[in-house]
Amino acid sequence: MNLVLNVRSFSSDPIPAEAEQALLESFRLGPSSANVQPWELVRIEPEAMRQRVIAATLDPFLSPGTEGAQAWIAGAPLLLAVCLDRPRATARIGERGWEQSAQDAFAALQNLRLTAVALGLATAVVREFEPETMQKALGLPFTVEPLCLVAAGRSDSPPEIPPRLPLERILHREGAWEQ
Amino acid sequence: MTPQHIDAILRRRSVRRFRPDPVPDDLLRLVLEAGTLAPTGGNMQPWEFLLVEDPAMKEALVNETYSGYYSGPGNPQRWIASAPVLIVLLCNFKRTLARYGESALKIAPLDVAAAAENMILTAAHNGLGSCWVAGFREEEVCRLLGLPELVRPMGLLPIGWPAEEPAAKPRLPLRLITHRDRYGVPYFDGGPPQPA
Repeated sequence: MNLVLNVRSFSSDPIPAEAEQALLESFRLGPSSANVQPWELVRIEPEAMRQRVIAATLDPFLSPGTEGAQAWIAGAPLLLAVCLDRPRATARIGERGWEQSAQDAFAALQNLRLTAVALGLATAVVREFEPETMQKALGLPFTVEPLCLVAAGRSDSPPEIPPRLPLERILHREGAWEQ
Repeated sequence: MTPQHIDAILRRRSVRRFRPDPVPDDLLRLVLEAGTLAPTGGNMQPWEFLLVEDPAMKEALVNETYSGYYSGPGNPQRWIASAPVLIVLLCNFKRTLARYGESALKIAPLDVAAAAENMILTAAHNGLGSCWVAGFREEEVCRLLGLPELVRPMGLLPIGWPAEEPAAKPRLPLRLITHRDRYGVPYFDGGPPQPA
């Protein structure tokens, strides 16, 4: 789990077909509120589509005018868009279902990322874009909205393990909110 | 309070001739909204509505309809094209399939049927006529409208101001269709079914 990290440089080795299948299947098995499975995956394959997607990405502060900021995803052997189907997400409980669908999709995504680690692959999640722009870039129906991109591949660079808060900084034992 | 029928249920007829006058947008919206208020398994709301406005599309769609039991080409229901509003009632199975698996195949069309009845009654309540049309070649209609794999047409619903006043059709009496505890035991009288 420590190795579920955003890696932004990949070797050019393609992901073997069975490994890709395992990643996709692990995503498919994610948990979802009321089992509505609100997600859709788009495999961003043709180069022209990949370029349109890159052109829709922004810098880490989502600054307008920084379109094309995540150009590194061009080198990802596998690039997927995780999308949410709004009617499926909201039919049952309304707008709260929309919030939950994003939570569910990220749980499914964690499945994929853990599977990637187990297979010796690295992943990165990209959320730096305006949904409407990315929706157009991906050519999605008006009822389907992009949540994030996920890039995957083999990486030669050593993982950069980020600092983590120790448990005692985030666990409030027996309900006591001590500082 | 005396039990009362809903007036629109009593007055509703299948109307197949329409005046050319348009249906106001707010009234059309009301009809569509009534559809969304129907009961639905798990609240999955599998209904979707496709409004056909393009005359060429309307014509093409009518050409895929048929009357009676012969589903081949050559006897389309031409009158449909005269309706100022033509709604294709769609069933999006994907939501219900996600939640319930294969039983969605049974549940979802029932939900769409309930939505259709809400729409038909709301139209009738507001003086509009309509007729639920089921005689069409399904695959051709799917192709024509560009429907995705899990979206199927359940019916066509032409709506407009009636140019005819069809008489009420005879209906089976409750006595012949209502059973008590076990199938075949009449609910409304103890004797064998009487001629209607």
